[in-house]
Amino acid sequence: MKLHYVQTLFIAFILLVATSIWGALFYWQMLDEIQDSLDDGLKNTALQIAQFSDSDSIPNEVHTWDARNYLLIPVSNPLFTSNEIKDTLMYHANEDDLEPMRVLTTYIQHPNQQWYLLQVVTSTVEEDDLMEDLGWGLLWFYLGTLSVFFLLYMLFSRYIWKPFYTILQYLRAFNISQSHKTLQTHTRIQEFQTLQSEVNQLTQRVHNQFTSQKQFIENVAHELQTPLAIALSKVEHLSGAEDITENQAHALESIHTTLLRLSSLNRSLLLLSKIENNQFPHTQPTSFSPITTSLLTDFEDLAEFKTIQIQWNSVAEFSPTIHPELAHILVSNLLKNAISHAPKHSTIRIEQDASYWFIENQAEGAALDSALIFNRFATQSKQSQSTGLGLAIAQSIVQQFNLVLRYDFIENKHRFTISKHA
Amino acid sequence: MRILIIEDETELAQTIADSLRIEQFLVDTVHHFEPALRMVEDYRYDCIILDLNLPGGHGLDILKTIKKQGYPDAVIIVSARNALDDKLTGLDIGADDYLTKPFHMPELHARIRSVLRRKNFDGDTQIHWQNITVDPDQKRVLVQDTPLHLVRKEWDIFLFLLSNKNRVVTRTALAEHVWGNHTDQADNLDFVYSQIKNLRKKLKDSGAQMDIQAVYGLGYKLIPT
Repeated sequence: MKLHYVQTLFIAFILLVATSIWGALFYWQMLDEIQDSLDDGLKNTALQIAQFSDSDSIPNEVHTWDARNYLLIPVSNPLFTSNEIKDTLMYHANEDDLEPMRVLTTYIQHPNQQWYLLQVVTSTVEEDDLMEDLGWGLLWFYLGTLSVFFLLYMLFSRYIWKPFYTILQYLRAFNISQSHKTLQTHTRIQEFQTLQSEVNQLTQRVHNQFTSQKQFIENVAHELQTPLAIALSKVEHLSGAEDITENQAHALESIHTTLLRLSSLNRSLLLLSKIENNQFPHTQPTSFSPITTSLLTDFEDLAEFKTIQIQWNSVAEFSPTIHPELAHILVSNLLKNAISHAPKHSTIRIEQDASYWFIENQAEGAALDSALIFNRFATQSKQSQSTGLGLAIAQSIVQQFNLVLRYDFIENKHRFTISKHA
Repeated sequence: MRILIIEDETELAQTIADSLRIEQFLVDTVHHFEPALRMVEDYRYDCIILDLNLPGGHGLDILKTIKKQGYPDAVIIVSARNALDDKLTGLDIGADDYLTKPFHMPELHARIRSVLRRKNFDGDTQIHWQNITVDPDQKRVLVQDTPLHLVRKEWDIFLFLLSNKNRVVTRTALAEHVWGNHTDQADNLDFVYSQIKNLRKKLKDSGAQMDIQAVYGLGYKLIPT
């Protein structure tokens, strides 16, 4: 989850910088303190030796390094009188190696005016080990803290942000046309509560608007049916009268055709509206064989009239889960289209298999634009009587039941294929 | 013949009533559930056109009442919804036929005549007009005792036109009756014309005293000659 990573990385980086700075400061502070304490020790020892040598008339000279850890060598002139402290390496017999030491060098004067070189040493091995351990300790501390922090942060982050992800998931799954449960995350975080309530209100509003609009369209179409039927009926009645003039008859014919078209359009729109409003919920596996065969019988005369041959080849049963009535409308629309657009003396081919059903007719013109043809009212042919909704209805049906309707232009033929969702 | 129209859309009820009265039917209309129920209980009709979407109650209840009381009235149920359930339920309860709105007037006429024929099982089910006799059950046409051979589609067209004799039947109504709801594109109705042409020729050749008149691009009318 990107948010976690971003947050974690960000904080990790800051932590790294802060801890590094602090760690470094601490380390050097410690180093400093330890050195100071060592140096103080050296100075004290030097002071004690100087005092000791004061009490004797002639101090004992020490010319070699031994357990006494100091050198006292008479010199003719002091090089300086302050304490000079340095790190050095000295050979230790028992270790058979050079060990780190800290050495204080100074020149003291005996009351008898003799100058002596005084060097005091102390081992820094322990201190060095200590510093080394401290260094590692700091490092592990840093890494450990960071790891634990990351882990806990990731864990808590997931938990804290859970409502947010729930809301995201809800939004992703939101479908404007379906009714939905209210979002409930039971979070105590104020911002998420606000987000949740806003999302709920918004989705509710949007869904209601959408539904009422759809309902409105359906209601309008429904209401239009009766007046149209009445108008049609009256025109048909008038046309039957004996004493109308030819002009009147033509006018009536024109009115009749227009009303028929309106009626057909209205019926199609109503159907589309019902399909999209999910008013055909009863689905079952529906075999396309009997549907195709029965429709072919119905269209037999028309096909014969246009001298169109129809080849029907069923390799295997195509039985998608769909509302039977809509399946009928679907095949009917495609078949009607094919017959309308097929040129005379041509052949229409229908074929089905377990996973598809397609219909193919000879093309008279160029390939159709598959992006446009399924849109409402996008008629590309001279078929002035068609409502332009046939394919839109087909597409709508197919989408409702998780099927796919595809158009292909193959070898100068228009082919429409219905297949199960890939 | 008495017909009762139970339909809440008054304009539509009036239109149907008018077209039926021209055919010499006696027609009553009623627009609400309660009065409809009363009419059905108080009077007998040869055929009842029943709209299922009635205000004040559901049309199927009227149908149930008719069947329960054993009234002999034939019932054709009409509904605006295409609902399969309503249709099946209605037919199960005992309706004689089912029509969905919107329907063509000639279609309604043909259904009424068909239902009335079926009802008169103790009477003559044959249709006599001019010099022909039609037996719908046997699907036979006799022109002055000579059989007239018609193919299936021609028979459907002829019977439809006959049920609506002297009335204009639009090509659309005809096509929908004979070939189903798929043929609503006027371009393709040219092929209806070719069927009509064949039928006319057969009628003429057989000497039937009738003709199919084309009505100015609107449709056809079966007229006596």
